[in-house]
Amino acid sequence: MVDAETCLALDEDEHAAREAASESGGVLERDVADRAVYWLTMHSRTDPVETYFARIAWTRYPDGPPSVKFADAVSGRLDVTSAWPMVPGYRPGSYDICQPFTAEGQAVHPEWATGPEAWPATGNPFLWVVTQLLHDVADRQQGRSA
Amino acid sequence: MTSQSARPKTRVKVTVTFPISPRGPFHSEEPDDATIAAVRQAAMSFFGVAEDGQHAYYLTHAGSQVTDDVTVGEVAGHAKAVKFTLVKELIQG
Repeated sequence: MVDAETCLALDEDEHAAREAASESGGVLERDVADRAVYWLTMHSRTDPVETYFARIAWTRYPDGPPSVKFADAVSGRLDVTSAWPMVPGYRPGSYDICQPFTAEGQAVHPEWATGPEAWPATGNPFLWVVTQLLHDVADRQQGRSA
Repeated sequence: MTSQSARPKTRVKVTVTFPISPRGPFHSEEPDDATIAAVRQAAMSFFGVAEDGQHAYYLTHAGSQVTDDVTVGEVAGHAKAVKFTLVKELIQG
């Protein structure tokens, strides 16, 4: 269970993230059971029938990056490689995203903790994470993982 | 000889958000033939970021990347205002 401060900060920033998702045809939903978990439904721009479900799980916000994984549905399984889009830096086989906006990426690259890839606790990092995911699925995706 | 009158330029209100910046959004008013490259450069200057060999910066609109050669008018269509997001991307080898 996350602390109250995290929940309050998420309450404050989620509106802009939800709006960004909606503007791109996606949906951002808060998990029913865990208020620190969100589900982002996104569609490929080249093939709008292709839908991806990202689980964004915060442990402390805005001070730390979220765990980001793809599932086969909202609240679905997280161990399905075919739920993942093929995007540079995304590793379906490891169920992680090796990018600075994820806890998994920051864990793999401890050198990112300082310097230009450090987690930015300023502004609206939730919106940043959602924007990165939307952009990756819309513009950088090279199909679905097997 | 008939002279063709130039089409009057429409001005479009532009807002660029950079989510991780402590500053608020960048606002400007641009002619509809201004390029996205010009808007991106102005926004990056406002947010105090610069291109380097490790990062790429793009503007996105409605979640999708807008290339530098597109004009503000092409994105805005008939709208008088348009919103973009500045995206910083790590170039991975």
